[in-house]
Amino acid sequence: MSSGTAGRKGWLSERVPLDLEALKVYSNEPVPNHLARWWWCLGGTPALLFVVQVVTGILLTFYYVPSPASAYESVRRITHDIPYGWYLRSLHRWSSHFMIVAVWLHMMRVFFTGAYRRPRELNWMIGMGLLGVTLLFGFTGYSLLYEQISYWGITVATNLTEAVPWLGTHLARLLRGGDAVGDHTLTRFFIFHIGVLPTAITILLALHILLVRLHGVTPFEFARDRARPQGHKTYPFYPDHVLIEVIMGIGLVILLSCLAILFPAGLGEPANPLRTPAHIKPEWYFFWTFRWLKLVGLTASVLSIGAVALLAFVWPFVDAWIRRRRPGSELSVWIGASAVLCLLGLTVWEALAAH
Amino acid sequence: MSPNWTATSSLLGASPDEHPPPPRRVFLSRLVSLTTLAALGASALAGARLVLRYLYPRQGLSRRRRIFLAPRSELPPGATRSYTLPGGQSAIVRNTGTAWVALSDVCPHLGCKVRWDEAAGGFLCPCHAGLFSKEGKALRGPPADEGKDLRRYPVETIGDNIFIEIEEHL
Repeated sequence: MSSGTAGRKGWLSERVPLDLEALKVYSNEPVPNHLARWWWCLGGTPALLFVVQVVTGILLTFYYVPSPASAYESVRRITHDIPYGWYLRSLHRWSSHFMIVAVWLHMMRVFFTGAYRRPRELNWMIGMGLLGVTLLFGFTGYSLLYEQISYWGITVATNLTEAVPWLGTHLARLLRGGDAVGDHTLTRFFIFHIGVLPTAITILLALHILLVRLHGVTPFEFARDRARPQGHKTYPFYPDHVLIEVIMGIGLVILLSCLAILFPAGLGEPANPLRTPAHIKPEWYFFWTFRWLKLVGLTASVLSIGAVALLAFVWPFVDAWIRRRRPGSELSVWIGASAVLCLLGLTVWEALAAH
Repeated sequence: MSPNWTATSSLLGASPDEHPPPPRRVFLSRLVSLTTLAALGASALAGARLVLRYLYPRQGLSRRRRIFLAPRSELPPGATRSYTLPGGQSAIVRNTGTAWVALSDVCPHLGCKVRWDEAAGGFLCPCHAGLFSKEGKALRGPPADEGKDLRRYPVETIGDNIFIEIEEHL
């Protein structure tokens, strides 16, 4: 090594006193072999997609105008006039769909392998928070288009909030910035989408990853891995696992790019507050709530969805209670499977129904 | 050189090397900690209240106002017309033969706009398929389940003109 390089290194390490050897040890934590399977990488997928969302989102914000009079026109301009605007918008849209799917799949994987159990209960709860924030990202982002369906989506959703007992009216007014959807609503949704929610997701993601790192990956062994000798049951996080994530990331970006080119994001009619379109539906990831609302009515649906969300939030403790009462019980698997079937059933039902 | 924490830790009532601190000192140090925590908590609550007050939209004043709708001749018996009112609301006005009825076109369920549906023979809400009779009575769907009819505007005729009363947010 030349003395010049050593000198530069010395200069830098004096100013950034980072122990590279300690960092190497820290990042080389061995991870169990089962993590090399792709469905065990689903936790990293939403994080990768979040990076795509941040980059494309920042670029879209350069041209988006968050006011009812100009929002639709600015989206139209991004889509049709600005060079590559259609591509960035389509990437942002497809990536949001993927992110929601990946978060649900990650959550299901964690649920069905029991990875939320002691001592990882808090991380499950943080994960539930991340699911909520991801769904809110989807909802607020879609509202920003200010096209007919998205406008009426905001109207229905904010009116739905009014059904929350005691706080409903105040919550709805706070969200809308007034008694009805108007000038302030779009600005509020915009601030949520680009300020409040990104801050929340960054904090929650950091805590989520920190807890994973502190606890280590949940032990799990496939029959094939069980036969391996003791020294071969793990592999290093860096570079091996990082490489798997990088390959998945590149694959995802290629897939997103193809979808953005083949099925670019469209734009419906501009919002018309005087006329509700004949067929109104939310984005597909809210189909189940929409169908449930039609089935059981306003107050019952809001209360029951709230109760289920609360149950899911504290599920690790409920599961521990069940397992204390009935050791070896498979009840949680059955409850989880029923919940997934219900969600899928309601989603498909709404997708197929005209009304 | 490692800093000497002894002074600080004895303040907090935890000095392992020395004799246990007198109970009075422990009491006082706990009192100081608790008071500080309480003050911080109160400040946080005050801050949260300030932010909420800032974000919560002002409860605007509203007033009831009578507005001119149309001359009587424009709405003969059996005729129905839709009028856009100030503030972006709409009224569907019908002459039943004995009176004029003005209905709001906002579905009382979740705020979508209803429209006349010839096949269904009533006002249909496109959001959750709620159906209302031509008098505005909820017949089917979520509004009927909740017993919520279309809102009626008070109608008044003065001379040859029809007026309706609306609530205007200032």
